[in-house]
Amino acid sequence: MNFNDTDDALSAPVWDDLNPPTKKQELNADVPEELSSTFATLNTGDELVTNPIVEVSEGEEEKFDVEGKPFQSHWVANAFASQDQNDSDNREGVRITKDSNALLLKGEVKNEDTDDLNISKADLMNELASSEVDPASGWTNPSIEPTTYNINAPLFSGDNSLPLAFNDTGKMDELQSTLNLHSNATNLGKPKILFNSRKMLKRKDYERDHLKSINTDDPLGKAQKDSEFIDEPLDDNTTSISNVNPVSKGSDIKRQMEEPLYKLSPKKDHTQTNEAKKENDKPTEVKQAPIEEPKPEFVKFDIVVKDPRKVGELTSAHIEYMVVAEAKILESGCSIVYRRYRDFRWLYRQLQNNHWGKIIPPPPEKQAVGRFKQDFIENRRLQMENMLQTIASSDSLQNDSDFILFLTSKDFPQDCKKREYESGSNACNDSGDLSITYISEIQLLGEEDGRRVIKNGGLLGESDKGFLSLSFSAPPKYVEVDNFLNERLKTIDNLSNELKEMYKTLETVDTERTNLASSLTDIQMKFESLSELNVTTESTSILNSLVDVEKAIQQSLERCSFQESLIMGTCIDNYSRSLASVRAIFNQRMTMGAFMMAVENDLRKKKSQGERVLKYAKGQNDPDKFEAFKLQYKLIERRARIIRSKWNELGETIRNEVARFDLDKTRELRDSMEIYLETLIESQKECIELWYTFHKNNF
Amino acid sequence: MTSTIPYDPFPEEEDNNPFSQHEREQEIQQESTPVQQDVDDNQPHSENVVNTDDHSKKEETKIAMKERINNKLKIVIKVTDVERIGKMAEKRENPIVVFDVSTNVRTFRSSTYKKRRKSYDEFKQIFKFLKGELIESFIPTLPIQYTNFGIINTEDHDKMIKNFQEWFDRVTMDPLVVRNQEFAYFIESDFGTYVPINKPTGQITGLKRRTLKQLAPPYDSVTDLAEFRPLVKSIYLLCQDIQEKLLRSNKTKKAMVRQEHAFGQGFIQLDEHNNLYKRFGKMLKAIGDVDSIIATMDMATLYDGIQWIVTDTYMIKEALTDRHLVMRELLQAQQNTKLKKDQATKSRTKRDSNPLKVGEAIENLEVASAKEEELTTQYERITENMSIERKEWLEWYDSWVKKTIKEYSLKKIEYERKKLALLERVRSDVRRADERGGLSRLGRDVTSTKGSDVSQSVEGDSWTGEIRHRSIDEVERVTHTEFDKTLEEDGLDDLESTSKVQEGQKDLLDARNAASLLGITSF
Repeated sequence: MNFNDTDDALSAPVWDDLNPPTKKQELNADVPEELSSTFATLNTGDELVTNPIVEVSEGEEEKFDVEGKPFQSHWVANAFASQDQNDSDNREGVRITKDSNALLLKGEVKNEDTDDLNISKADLMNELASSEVDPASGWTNPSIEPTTYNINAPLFSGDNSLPLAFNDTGKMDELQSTLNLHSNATNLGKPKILFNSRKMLKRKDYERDHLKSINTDDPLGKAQKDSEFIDEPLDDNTTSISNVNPVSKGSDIKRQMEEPLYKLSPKKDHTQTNEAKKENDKPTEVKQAPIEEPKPEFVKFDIVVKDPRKVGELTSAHIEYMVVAEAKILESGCSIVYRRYRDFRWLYRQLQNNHWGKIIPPPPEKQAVGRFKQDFIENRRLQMENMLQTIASSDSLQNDSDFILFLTSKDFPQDCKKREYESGSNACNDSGDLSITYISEIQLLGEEDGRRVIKNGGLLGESDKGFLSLSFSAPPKYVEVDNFLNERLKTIDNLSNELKEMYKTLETVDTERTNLASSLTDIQMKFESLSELNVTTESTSILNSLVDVEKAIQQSLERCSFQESLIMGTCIDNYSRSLASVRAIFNQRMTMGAFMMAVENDLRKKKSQGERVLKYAKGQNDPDKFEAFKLQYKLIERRARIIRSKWNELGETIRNEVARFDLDKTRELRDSMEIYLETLIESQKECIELWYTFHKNNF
Repeated sequence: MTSTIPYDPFPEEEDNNPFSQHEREQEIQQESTPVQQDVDDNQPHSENVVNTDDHSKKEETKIAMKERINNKLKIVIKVTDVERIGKMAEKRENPIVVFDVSTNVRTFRSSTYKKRRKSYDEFKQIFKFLKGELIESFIPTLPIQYTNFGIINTEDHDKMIKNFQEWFDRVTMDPLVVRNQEFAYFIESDFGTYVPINKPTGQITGLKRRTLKQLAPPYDSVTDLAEFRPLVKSIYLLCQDIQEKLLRSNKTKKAMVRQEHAFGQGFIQLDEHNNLYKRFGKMLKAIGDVDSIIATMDMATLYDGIQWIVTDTYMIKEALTDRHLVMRELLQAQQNTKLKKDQATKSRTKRDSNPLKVGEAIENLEVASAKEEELTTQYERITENMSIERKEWLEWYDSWVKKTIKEYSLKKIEYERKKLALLERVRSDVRRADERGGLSRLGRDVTSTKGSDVSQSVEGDSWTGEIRHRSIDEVERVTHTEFDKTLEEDGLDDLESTSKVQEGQKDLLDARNAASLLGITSF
């Protein structure tokens, strides 16, 4: 306790020096001087408004629990925890502010607008009370997904949840509007302004971050940024779709041979873009919808990964792939760069970091095993090309500055490290598992606070420190409270296992088939030598044609096997890797949840600590100390707020993404099944025809 | 009565004298005993050694031919049934062949026999006897006891009947077998009681044979037969190799089928609520089953077919070895005669020759030359007969290879067709799942979404311009597999639609169609 006090005492001034000025500076860069103070006040007010609006769910939950209304048992335990926490939050928060009123009124605190604060507190209480009126029954698993997907494919259960989603959204909207009404009624005008200002502020924050990242980026980032703001005609949809179709017509023979397979991808793109369009078109009245930037136009990308070549000697030897990208968005319209596998992983991590909750098209696994070893590089090339094309066809990912950087940077090893440091994405320390994620504190808390957190050993580390020195209560472990997400996670795990199993069997089928082919060759050779004995002319001719037929059959078998691995193998492999990517966004949510728990725990501690500090400050008449503590408290409060909102946001994104993913993948799998079936049928026909002709000619 | 002229127990005139039979047997004994007896008979004999050689050759040829030329003796055997009774091992290893016999051979007491039942063990006995007795002939080896179809099913049953019919046909083609008393004993004996009454005389067996086989084969003036042994031997070795490889590939196939099953199962388990995956998975499993059947069929047709070639070639090889042994004996006998002759002339030209000694020497020479003559006859008979049987065997080989491969390819076609039918059955489901209708992704037109999109119908195959009419039964057989039940648990509606289509197509069969059906092989 003493330690902590001194710690705080020591650190507080530092922050005091550090905090407000930097903030001011940053803001000064963008906004007029006099606004800085208002922003600061708004900032504090904002926190209070977020409570009712962003965390409606929490509030509600709490209320039901308190009143003992029937509630989903699953949530109860968690709700208790959060209830405790929030209750004490509220109570103490109020107490603190009330107590501090005296001090504040003396005008010792410059940046506080206490009236505002008090009023909004009261509003909050009112609102919480009023929201009791809302029917409990209206609350079900919120699933924000007003899609029209389920019009097709009645056989697919992936769409099962969708009708539910409709109802939910309806209810959610209703609920939301009532809540809004309440808050409007009680807050009388003010909340609106606050709400807007919050938005504005957020946007400012965002833009600031964004701008900064662009400033530090190479000029290409800027170019991309510029292009974002260029107003292109929005009715481009149709043309862009039709443009997607003639994707990369490979000229080499191999591709032509497998043409039917490749024809798939443009169509897929087509559907995907359609989906994406639908998603965009639907009204985004979801409350936490990220600030609307002017939606960048969907740009057509032509990306080819080719010409793998070996680079380096001995230990540093690796394969480099040529990445050729063509798009309007790129500076010169076309760029040719060399990338190695590691860089693709970097891109994956970086995108994951930039777009929380987004399912990023995964790169190939670190080590492919089994039959595909022989054409390992080719396989990898294909997978990586696929990855880039999928990224490029997703309108939210295609404009990502890191993606552009990946496509254009001439000095990639340096650039990627730089970017990694700036974003704190940890993209270069890529762990093997695609599903393990890392949440960047910088991305989460903003540049300056994030760096501070990292310095202190991360969000979890910070709270650990507190735990050791201050109290014996470990931060509560995070348990996913959303039933929908829990269920999805379970099914995804099952599916992933199932697919892995299938992939393995497919591989064994393949090896068996190779064995079979070789033993068939043996038999052919024996038959050949038998016919060479020339025992009788007739038997010799029959044996000869038998050998010919067997050879043809064997070729067809090998072709079939190759196609099988290409169609089903690639599809299943892709599917299961994508599932790892899905798993990753769930992990993000888990990590975020853990952060949330840790920080909120911190906040609670600080509150209890606050009373003592206040008393002490009163006794000593040492307002500086209290001031320092207050700043610190605010900081943590801000963190908690940000994390919670991000956590919620993430939940929503995951819902949307997972639903879309299901549909896309189901469609993909079905496509593969159909093509696989067709190839099977064709090779079967060929086989019959061969035997038939053989029979006809010889007997 | 000289041994150079083999006694013909079946002169043209009918002779029912039981004594003659007895006589004949004695004859055979006399004829063949010298072969086994010590060759180095030291009795000198001096007359007409060279002459007899020439003379006997001509005569022998005539006689050897005679058995074949005047071949009015016939045994016609018709295999009617193959029974498998008793314990499992018994069922497998010792099937009972039921057959009817009609014959005009005098060694038989009756001209017709109905429902003779012989166990496989008895067949083995008679084969062993004939092989040892008739060293002039290539006695066809017995067919396998059980086929790779697995015992106790119709395919195995039919195949066994066919095989034994073939064996009887081949055996009764050989006049030496037909005339053989032991063969009559075999057929006339009661079920399960047959053991050879006579002892086989021809073959040198055991250690002696083994030692003699090590020696280089003597010079053979008959090129056909001289070349035949190495040929047969390489056929034997190659066929064995093929069998081995077939066995291995069969194992791989079975392993592959297991994996295919697992893959299908994976689809079924992928999503328990999804019927498409379920059906697709089931289809894949059924395909795996068909693959497994194909593997079995390969074994039953190709492997089993080759098996007979293997055993037959081995038998022929050994028979040819026997011929070599006889040749060697003949050479020795010739040397011996020469020696005896020298001795005789020497003793005769001696001035102080003892007439007793001269007489002895001449006697020795006579014995030796008689022995040689006998062996020469035997050699001639063997050579003659084998030259004829070589041609016959090659013909059989030809037809057998053809038959085997034909059966193999027919089964292949049948089951590959079934596979195709299975694949096409699920196609409509897969296509229906895509609202844009079927092959749009492949750049093809929308095809019918009904179940009628089958490429194998009464009208022939959709993928070829050739006219291949086939009967409804055949189409039905192809489109319906053993796995229909498992496949259609959840898709009865689809089955109905296909059967409706087939009913509709039944009307298409008019008279002309039927005629062309009858004329063309169709499967």
